[in-house]
Amino acid sequence: MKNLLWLFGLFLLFTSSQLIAQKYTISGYVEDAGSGERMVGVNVVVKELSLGTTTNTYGFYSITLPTSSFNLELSFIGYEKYTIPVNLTEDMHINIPLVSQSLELQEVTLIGEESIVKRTQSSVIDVPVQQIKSMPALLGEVDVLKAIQLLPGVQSGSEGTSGFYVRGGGPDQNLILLDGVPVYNASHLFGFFSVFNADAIKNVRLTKGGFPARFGGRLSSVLEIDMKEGNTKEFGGEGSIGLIASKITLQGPIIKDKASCIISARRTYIDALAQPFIMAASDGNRGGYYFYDLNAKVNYKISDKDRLYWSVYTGDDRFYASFSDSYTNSSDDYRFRLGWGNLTSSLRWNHLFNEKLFSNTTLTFSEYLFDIDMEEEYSYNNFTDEFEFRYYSGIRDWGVKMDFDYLPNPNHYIKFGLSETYHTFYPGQIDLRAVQSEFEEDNIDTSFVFSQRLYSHDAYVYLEDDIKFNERLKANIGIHASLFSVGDKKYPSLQPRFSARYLIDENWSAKVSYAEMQQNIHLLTNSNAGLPTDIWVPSTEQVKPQKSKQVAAALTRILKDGVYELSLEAYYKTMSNLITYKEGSSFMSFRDWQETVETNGQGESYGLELFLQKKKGKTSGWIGYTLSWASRRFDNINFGEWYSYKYDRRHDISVVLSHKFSEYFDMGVTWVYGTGNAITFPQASYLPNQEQGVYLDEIEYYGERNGTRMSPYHRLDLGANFRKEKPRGIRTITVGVYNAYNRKNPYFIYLGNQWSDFGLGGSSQKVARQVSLFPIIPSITYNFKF
Amino acid sequence: MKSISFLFSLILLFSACDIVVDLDIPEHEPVLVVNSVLSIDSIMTAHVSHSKGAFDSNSISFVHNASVEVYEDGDLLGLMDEIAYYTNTADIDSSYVYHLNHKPTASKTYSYEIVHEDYEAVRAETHMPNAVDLIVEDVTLIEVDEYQSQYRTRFYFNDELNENYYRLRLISKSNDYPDYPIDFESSDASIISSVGVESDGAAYWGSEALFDDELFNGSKKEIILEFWWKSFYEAEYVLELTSVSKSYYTYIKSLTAHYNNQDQFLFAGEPVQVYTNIENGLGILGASNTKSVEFILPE
Repeated sequence: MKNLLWLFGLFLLFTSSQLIAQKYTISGYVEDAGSGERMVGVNVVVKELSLGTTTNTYGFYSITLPTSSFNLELSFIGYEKYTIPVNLTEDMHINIPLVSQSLELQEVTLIGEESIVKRTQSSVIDVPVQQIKSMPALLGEVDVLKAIQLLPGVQSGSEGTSGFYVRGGGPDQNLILLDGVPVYNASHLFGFFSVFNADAIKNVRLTKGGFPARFGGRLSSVLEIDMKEGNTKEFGGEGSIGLIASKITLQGPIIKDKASCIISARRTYIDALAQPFIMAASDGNRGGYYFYDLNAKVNYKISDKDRLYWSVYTGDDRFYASFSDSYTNSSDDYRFRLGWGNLTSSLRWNHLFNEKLFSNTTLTFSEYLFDIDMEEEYSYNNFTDEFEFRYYSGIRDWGVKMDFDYLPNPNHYIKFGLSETYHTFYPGQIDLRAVQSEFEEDNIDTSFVFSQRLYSHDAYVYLEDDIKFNERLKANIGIHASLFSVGDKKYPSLQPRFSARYLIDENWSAKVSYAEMQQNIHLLTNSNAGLPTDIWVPSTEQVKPQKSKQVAAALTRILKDGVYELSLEAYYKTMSNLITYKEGSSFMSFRDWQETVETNGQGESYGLELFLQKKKGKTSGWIGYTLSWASRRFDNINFGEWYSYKYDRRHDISVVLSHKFSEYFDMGVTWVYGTGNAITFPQASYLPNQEQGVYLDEIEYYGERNGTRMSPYHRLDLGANFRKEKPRGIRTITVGVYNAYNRKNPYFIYLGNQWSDFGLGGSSQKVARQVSLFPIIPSITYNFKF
Repeated sequence: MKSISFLFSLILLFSACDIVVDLDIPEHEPVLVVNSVLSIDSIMTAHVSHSKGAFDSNSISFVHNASVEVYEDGDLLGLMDEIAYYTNTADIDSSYVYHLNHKPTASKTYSYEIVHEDYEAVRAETHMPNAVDLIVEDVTLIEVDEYQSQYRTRFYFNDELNENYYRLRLISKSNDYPDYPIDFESSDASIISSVGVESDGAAYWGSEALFDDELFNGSKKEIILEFWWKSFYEAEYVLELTSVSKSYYTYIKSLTAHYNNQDQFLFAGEPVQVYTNIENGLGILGASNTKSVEFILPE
């Protein structure tokens, strides 16, 4: 009997332990019920078990739970909470539609749906597109990159430009991804506008530090911009007519609930409007400027396990001018064109292997090209001389990558993958053709290649795991291993990544992160404005990859039940193998680019970022303050001493607020303040030794590099939206004022003259002269949505 | 490129505002500026002036009554006197120099110590290089047309085994134009790498080539030049190779870069700090040693 009891007890123990160990996985996709758009960052929680997860970039979630009955709860701000009872006895696949509370008037929130306190990573900010579209904007053109500049730790460059500088890093140290494809020049009109059409964008996320292992290739930030997929339920569109540009976005199903597309286009029309005036003022000569953007995306749901996306972006800036002069026996025709633009495309395949393993395979293409074209035809007597000059530079990428999400259990979220990119760099070539019909022996038809084309392979693999140790402690640990090869030179790299979060209580958390990064391609830039003449070049035998190490620590707090979120973050970053143009060199130096750069530069930056945001209520927005230092050192610059980085900005303040007065009227205000940029300004002058070919009366002496500060930059922008429902949709009139108190912010400063009297007895005084760009600028835009 | 500047200027013109601002720059304490290039075949002279602050609109004047001591290999050679180039321009500051009636010698080190009551004392040092003999191997007439003739000359010299710096010139000497520089073309790797032109079918074109011996240190160096010329005067033709001190070479390179960077608007490179070897001051004390060879142009 005892043996029977013993055996029975053993049997119970065995079966009960098996029952306790029984787990199953629930997985699926979360999408917007109205449009079918997959949703990123949706909370998927089982409160009874204190377990949860969030949807990934493709709206996929997976959570492994013990067999039991519970409620699966999904939440996302602006959408109605969704609860579904589950009796988990086997693996389940549940796709969930979330219903928006209001299509137009969703409450805006700044960061991702996972609370800032609970998120493992620090240094990450999600910016809702709706927030971007509600901000006052220059000439009424909402701009993703200008919105990014309002975040702590992100500096803008010169007045009005879209370039951004993150934690003391340069403009090339930001990886800008549009649907996973790098964009190499994200600026229109010398940086006054970015290439991103906010109407076509679903998601914007900026990572400034604590980089997970899946990211690599840039030192300072990753800006992920995801395009909308297109409404799979019904056709719709939106557009706007503004002062300088108009845009339209159309989307709809190709096959309902299975395939959809979205097309978005924007073009300026300054050239069309100004053309009659230019022709009238210049005896028929033509000239102008325009830019355009075109985004298109198609997505096709092959099955519950497979989905295909194809997206493409193309955009161009074009300056053009033509002059014609006629004389008695001769004529002269001259044409000039200057342009730059991007073409990017990606083909992605999402595949669900099983409930725990999700994959995304992407083929990418990206090209950036800048070119100048000049032609002249001069006819005299019976002869015709022709001259043609063309300069071009650019970069082209072909790439493939595979990313996997594996969720074995709620305590581990594993990501791994690999990538290979084939780069082609053409850093500068001139084609020259000159034909003199009278002097044929002097004809020229040649190409000057100042920098040879270079080809490189850029490959990496990565592995990261988001680990939940217990209710308080979570960490993301990973490794990013890369190999960059150009010619016979190879640069391998192992880059550890770590970030951790300790939940002090429900409202407080402390975070820490460490990341090593390597950047294998560089941007040669010495322009004070966002000129398209910046050149992308690879690491070579002479020029090594840039490297960085960054450590960051943060305290985060939520206040008033999540209405306010507060973050205080400190960082320290070192950079090595930086490059910069030698003194006096620029893209116009007709030399191999490697001869024009200083190498082995060092960089250091550190600072404190304070970020207070209000996420809910009629008034929302944020206040950001950054206190930072950024410096550089090169052997042959500033006598080898450390000097302030050009964009070293001691204090940076951003206040962004919007208030919803009613369903039909809301206002926004933005105020920014920044310490003036550091410049190299003459301190003195003296006489030169007379040398052949040098015609100078005096030489300027500059003292310390970047030793002078321009005056502080500050600006107030105001905007208001007036909505009205129309029979066929909603129309919104947006009025705004850029630089409302007409501050003359510095664009650049030079040593000039001030004349006291223009008469014979007049004299001039040497003074510092400041050029400012944008005075107070009102704008009005007509928006429609149907 | 000027078209780009012009177009961009147009845009800024329509939108920009240009005002005078108070800029906080360090107060500049004027220092002595010394410009002196020693030459084997000339007595030693130095122009001494002063610097001025960036916003000082006054002209820069010669510094009179300075004590300029000259040393050769550490031994005091003497004190320079202040003289005017031309007595009829003695009231013009730019005509003054300090001079010492002594011609420098190759392979010696020369230094100045300059003191003036109104400025901090300055010191500078330079080494007089050895000149190298030029051997012209041939001068060939390549082509003749109505306006000019094309010539090619081939010459060589032997470089010493240490860091050497050279300046090459081609000159026409006639009664009316005793020192007329002639532009020439060369695809020589040392010349074009120093100037900064890619050696891929491109060539240097100019009247004065500055280069170092990095590619041929301690070896025999042959150079081929081509030039187009039509002489309307009876003239002699001279190939001039000047050995220059490293400091002078660096000065000329930085001065040229500084000059080329002027008036480039937003397309300018970073400002170029002109090199100086004057301690506590500005300017240059350089040295040059020239050897030249005459040749005849073939008919």
